[in-house]
Amino acid sequence: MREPPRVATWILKYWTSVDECVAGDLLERYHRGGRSSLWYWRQVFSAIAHDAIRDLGARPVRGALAIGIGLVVVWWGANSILFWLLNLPEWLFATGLTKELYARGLTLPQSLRDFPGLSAWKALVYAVSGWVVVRTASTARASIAFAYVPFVLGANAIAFVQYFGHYPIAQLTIDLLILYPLAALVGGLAAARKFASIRGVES
Amino acid sequence: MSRSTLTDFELMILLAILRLGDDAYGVPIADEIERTGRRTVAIAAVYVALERLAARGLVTSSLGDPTPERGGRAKKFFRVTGKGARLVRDTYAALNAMWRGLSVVKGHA
Repeated sequence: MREPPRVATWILKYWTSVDECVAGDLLERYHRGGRSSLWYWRQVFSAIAHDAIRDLGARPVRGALAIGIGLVVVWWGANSILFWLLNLPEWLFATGLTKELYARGLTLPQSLRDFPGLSAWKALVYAVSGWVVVRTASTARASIAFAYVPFVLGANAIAFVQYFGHYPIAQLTIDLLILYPLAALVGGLAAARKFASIRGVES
Repeated sequence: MSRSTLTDFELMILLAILRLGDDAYGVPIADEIERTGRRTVAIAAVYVALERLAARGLVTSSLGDPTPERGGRAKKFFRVTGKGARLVRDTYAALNAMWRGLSVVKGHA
């Protein structure tokens, strides 16, 4: 008997609130109805979306606040490196780094602007923001982490338009639309309580 | 929740449970809606609606035995309560009254 996609089953088990009966129904429909892997993935995404809508709908103010704080963390974190660099000790002028920085005004040195230097830092910031969002939301459920991702994507889509022409399009796409949203999700999931442990299911 | 009406999806689920009788669990409910109601549904959506209906006292559930086909997981069977059946009847009567005399829905526009 063919097995459904393992990653999808793992997400369903640990990061959604569906109980064992729903997982059993999905498996039965997958096997008996000869459904495709794509169908299974769609069902898992549907479970995630329903979790997110239900949890945000139950506590909309708290959810909005958590997501708002997450976006502020992103803004602060991504810009703090600028503030930090502007306050470098004087001896670093000898290294040329600060000289370049001052020469370019408030823009980062090219070495830091290039992929993947700044990307790694920002990915970390996004991961922290995801963690903060889930911890701020009262339920600390994975659904909040998943719900946060469309907001990150929305904000980054605006940034994409803003930076278009200033950075290579491949870098913008990888950074803004793939790496950072993924980092936010991973950070959020790291902070979320696993549903399998809530249900008492062994991993 | 004090809502005394049903969404079209909730009505479809209640009708599917009534049609299935003792065999009403997630898979046949979704199949019945897809086949008879000609509408694609996700299992999660069915359960979210069933959860709402249960919270309103319109359906009850009981666990069946685990089966190998389902990876050893149990089935959750649903039944429409008396309150649920009354609401289905009321909804049917209300919709019927709204439809009465409308030639456009009979294709005579």
